[in-house]
Amino acid sequence: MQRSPDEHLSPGELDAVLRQRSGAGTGTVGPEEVGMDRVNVHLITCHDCRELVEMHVEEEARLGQLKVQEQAPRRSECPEPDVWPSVAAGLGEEKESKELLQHAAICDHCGPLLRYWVSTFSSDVTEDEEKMLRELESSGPEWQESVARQLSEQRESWWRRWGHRLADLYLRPFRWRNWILAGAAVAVVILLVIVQRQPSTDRLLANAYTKQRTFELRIAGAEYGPIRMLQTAADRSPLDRPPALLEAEARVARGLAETPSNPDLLQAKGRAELLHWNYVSAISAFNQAIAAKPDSQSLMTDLASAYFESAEANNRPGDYETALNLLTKALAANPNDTVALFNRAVVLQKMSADDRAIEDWHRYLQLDSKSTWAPEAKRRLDEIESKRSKPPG
Amino acid sequence: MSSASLPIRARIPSTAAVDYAAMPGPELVRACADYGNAAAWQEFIRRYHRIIAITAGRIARRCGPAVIDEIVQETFLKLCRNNQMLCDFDTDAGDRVHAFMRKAAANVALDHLRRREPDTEPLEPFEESGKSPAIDPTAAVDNKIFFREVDEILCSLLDEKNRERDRTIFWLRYRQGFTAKEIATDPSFGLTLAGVESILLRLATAVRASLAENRRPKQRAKGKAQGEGN
Repeated sequence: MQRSPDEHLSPGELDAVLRQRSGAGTGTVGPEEVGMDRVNVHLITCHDCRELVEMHVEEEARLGQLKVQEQAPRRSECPEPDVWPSVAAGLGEEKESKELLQHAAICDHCGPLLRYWVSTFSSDVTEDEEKMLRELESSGPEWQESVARQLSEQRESWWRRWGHRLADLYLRPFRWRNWILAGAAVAVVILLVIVQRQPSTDRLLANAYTKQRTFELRIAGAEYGPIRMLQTAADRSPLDRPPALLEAEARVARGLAETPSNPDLLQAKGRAELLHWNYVSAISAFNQAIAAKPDSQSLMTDLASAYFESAEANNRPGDYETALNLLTKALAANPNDTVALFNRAVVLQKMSADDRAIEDWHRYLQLDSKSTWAPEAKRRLDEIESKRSKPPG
Repeated sequence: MSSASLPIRARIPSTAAVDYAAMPGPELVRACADYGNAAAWQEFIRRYHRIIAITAGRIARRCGPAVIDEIVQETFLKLCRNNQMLCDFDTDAGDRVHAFMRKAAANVALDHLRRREPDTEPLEPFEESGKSPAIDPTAAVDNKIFFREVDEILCSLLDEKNRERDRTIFWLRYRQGFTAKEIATDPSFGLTLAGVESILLRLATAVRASLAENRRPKQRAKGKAQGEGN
């Protein structure tokens, strides 16, 4: 079919001509598809189109000079080089990939890296690469079979083996070996439940305190208990102690034999000593624990209790002072610590600092008006207030 | 619910022989991750060996077949060890499996080469074209000015909606030397090969015309000056 002389080149035909002349152009549509014979005939006769082609060839050559020739040094705004394999593979997040591509398109450092990875991940395979593939030992079925076995064995890690065995158990429940495995699994679960349900050493000590409260101050986590005795009788049998205390002491002794400087065990030891009025040992244990945990408020509160016992036992006002300072320090760190506040009110009461004690009891009852400790706090407050309301003499 | 729509993890491998060769890629990957037996792995290796070996061969092009075999084996071992990588596959991630294998092979190959030659940077983006020509500093400045001129023309031609996308495509082609096919393979553009070609054709034609238009007054002035000189 003839082309009309005034039918000038379309952009597609122009692009095809450029590619034919200089390998430039943008598309992949072959010259035969464009009908180059007819285009070339038209170019012979049409001066305007010839000029147009020349102009585009010239400008395309200039644009070709813009292609990056050498990788530029990395700039501060360039991303880490390891992002490009993900972008090139199309595995990045869409938004992030778009931003990275925008950067790479005009960056002479990152653009070549992206280009490298795109060509490395290209699905087009050359003759040389086909040859290389044939030469590889790993292309052979023996190699692949052997590596597959290796991989399969690797997957059989211990937990997976157990998983398979349990699956077998589910599928074939009547094999005696499976019953043993199931029994072992159930035993492990029961053991875990028992361990989980065992009270902690702190809980045991708190229970022992509530059951047989031997001093006026509180220890953290313990419910209210009436004061049964103020001092342990020297001739009292250890078997009279609450079982929780005996168990806690045994655990602490075993634990400290293994880790003598464990601050939690030392605190538990100190609390057990407090229950026996062994305040010297308690002070020593709490001080060792504080060396490891200098900011612990509960240790400061417990140490104050040990000095309180010392003050009570030896009638030493200086130890009340030490206890007061320690409790004030603990309350400075946490003003809402009801255990420290309760204990400080008791200490102040012992020191006859009634105004300050009343202040602490009022604050305590604001913070804790409903727990099992509230009635004792209220009673102590009433005692001070009634003492003050009585006329002197 | 049909078995095809069940998540792979929920399926218990039947004791009957499973036809791994018939499994779609993502399902095979998850099968290897979940209960990988030798048959599953053998199919996995058979299917992805080619992609992994070619990627390894391209990165370790200077090394012999023995090193490439080592990299291939290391890649499979790494994929097997790093169960989480395989477990992360969704069953609808069909196209991503190949990309994932390529990236895994590339990482292993780079690590392998860095271990072999710790003082050599294994990445050489310009290795293919040989040593790059010495750059004339004056030409480099001219190049920058010309780059800015083209970029300004380009930005004036682009509509707001697709400005960044089309500018990126243009410069990937003319600055970085990407082919239209390579640009179209990037999923973040969301374009077919014909779509990329169409954008490049439109932009390149318009840019060339604008460049020629910009040059014409200068050429006229130059010609006039030459005429006056004669």
